[in-house]
Amino acid sequence: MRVATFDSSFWVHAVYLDLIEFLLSDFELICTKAVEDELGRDNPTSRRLKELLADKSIKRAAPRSERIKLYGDGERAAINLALERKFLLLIDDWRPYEAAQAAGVEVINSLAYLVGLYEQKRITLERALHALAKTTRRGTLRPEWIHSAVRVVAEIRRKGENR
Amino acid sequence: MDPLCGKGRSGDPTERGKPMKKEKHEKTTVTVRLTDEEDQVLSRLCMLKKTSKTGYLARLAKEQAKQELLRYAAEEYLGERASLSELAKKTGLDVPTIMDEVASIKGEDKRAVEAFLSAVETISKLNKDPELYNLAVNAVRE
Repeated sequence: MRVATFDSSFWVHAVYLDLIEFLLSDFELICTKAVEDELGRDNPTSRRLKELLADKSIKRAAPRSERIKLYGDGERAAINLALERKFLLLIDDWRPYEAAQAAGVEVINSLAYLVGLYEQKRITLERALHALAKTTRRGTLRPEWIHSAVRVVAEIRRKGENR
Repeated sequence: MDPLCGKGRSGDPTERGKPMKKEKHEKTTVTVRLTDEEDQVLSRLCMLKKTSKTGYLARLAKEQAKQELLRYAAEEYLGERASLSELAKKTGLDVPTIMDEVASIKGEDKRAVEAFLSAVETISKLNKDPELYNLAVNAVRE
């Protein structure tokens, strides 16, 4: 199974869009202490993470070096851990997303992951569009990313793969 | 109001003479100078609310500062000037709280939803797939 680490914004969106079970079946998830701290203590997203850390569905790890020095603690730790151990990086904040990509890390945002689930017929078109509409209303992801996701969903459907 | 004239620390009096321990509820003193008029208004309110002026000002300052930190973080993020992680560090707020504030600001913006539907409509027409648009309309309504 592919190993992946994530930043706080990805985790918040994944909980919000109900993607956690899919993520757990697709990846061995690793969380840094900095991301855990950034998620705070008393909110649904941090509680979900704490439960999964407690039952060891998600493991903890820390980067040994700091090749990337920019950005906040959580993003920096996640990027450096992914760089160091060649993990996949699940990240939704666009600036560190681009910095990680430029540094050679393999990155996925929550919308690309969602589109992948639709392509694999693990979610319906209704669910994919509902998630995209929900993300649009929330406004915490770049509109360009949402529009790209819409285009790809439509293209998958046009090719008849998911009709 | 003329804020911040002096700053000091008050410790537990029972600990006097012993090395000062770092306590959870350690307090910082901030002196606030008020004009007579400002003091009168504040005194009247505190009398009606049965609260001390210090308690009232402390609560007010905390609530106001937290709101301004939240607003600052959301605006910086929306202006693409800082990442969520950076803002969490700068403001001391957690990332989900900042994201909720961003959502509450953007939630008032109907243009994003219109742009989403417009993009789906264009693709639906190009692909001759009206069902896609209908499903998107339903998704937005939910």
